[in-house]
Amino acid sequence: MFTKKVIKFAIDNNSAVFQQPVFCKIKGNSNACRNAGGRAVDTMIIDPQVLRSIHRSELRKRILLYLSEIYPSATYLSEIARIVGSDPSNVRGALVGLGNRYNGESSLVYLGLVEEVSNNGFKYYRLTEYGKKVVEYLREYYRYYRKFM
Amino acid sequence: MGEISVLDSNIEHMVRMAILHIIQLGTKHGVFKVISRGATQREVLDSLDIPNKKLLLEFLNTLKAIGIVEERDGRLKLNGFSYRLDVPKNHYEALLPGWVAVLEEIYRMVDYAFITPTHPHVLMDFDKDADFWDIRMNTDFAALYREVIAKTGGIGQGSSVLDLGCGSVSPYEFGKRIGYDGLYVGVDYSPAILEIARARVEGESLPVELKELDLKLLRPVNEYQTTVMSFIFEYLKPEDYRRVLRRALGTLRPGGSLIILEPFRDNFRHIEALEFFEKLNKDFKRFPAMSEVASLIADEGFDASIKRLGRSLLKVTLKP
Repeated sequence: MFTKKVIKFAIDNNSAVFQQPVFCKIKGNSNACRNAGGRAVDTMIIDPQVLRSIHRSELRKRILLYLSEIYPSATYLSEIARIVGSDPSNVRGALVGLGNRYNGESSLVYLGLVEEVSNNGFKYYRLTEYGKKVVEYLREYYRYYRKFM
Repeated sequence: MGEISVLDSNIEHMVRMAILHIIQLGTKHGVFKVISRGATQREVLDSLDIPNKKLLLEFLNTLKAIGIVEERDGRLKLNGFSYRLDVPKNHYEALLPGWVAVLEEIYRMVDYAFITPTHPHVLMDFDKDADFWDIRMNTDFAALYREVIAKTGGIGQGSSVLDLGCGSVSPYEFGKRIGYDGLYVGVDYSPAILEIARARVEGESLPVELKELDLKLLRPVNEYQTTVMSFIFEYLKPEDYRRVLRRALGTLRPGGSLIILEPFRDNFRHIEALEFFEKLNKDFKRFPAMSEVASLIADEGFDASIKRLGRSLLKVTLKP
């Protein structure tokens, strides 16, 4: 029985799955020069269609925002459901897809925004580094989407 | 390689990649096949199953401008266009990956735009698709040109800057650079882009003012140390260049500088290929020529020096 709301443990960053490579995104002025100098660059991928789709889905958005709040910690499904005020089956659908009701291809794990980690027979969910960047964009675009979408 | 050279190299490569994609589009949509039969322009337009004839006509005009197709005796002919793409080591070292992914997305949009210009997969409208533009302005390439503008225009702590066509990222980036004792005024005609810019700036309490305004209606009131016009002439009709330039120069204090950044058409051969893709934005007109912008500035009679920096940058400095 878990008594903590948030479970902390090491998770391999490479386990995130990146889908739909559309744009590279780099913030700040220094990166261009860094790249020009031949060093590593951030080539995280952001697709506006994915951002718009998440913005339209209140549940997926709430899950991402909660996982962002506790980042880099992971937590389990029933805890996410309790915090976002939804049914665990709906949360599971948003996270990994569920039959015909929730399209697996638009699920947060499939899109690489959240990673599912198994530990001692339990599954935990954590925002990926990529998911963190998507949440940043969602926050920055919130007013724009509300007004113009 | 200096930053301005890196900038030019990347623009050069954007044009080269665009040519390859033009050839790919012509092959994919059967345009070359029909042209190879010696069809007239009308016959090409009628025989291809592409609903958006206006864009198809634009595509044919692009083929003619690049020199892939020529029109002789009313018929279109493939003229044996030959194109060589070199991969020199020093050139590739300077390439920034960010713009490649953005342009790839734009190449893909053409297929949908050939169906209808308002297809939901065409993300080029400044308001409807401000998120796409913001992502584009967040690439490494955009970071580089902001760096070049800042260095060329001497933008630093305490500077006063007017940015004409500011977009959604520069207000935050330049605002940070000038600090709390400076002033940055950003002007853009897209309310959606300005909304994103505001969201980014407000949390930081930066000395940034943002105004929604069509540049053609600009009236110089205050004077600034630096005025920036980056990637903005391409959305103006050439007949409006003079008026906008005069007013932009009118915003400068003595000794101030106007920084103009554009892929100038007289410096990049076959730039029409890149223009074809940019025209998916309904407001895009054409890239300006450095010579026409420079000569218009000279004609205006300002006591100013005009410096050509590389192939994509002009610095106009008023005498103190």
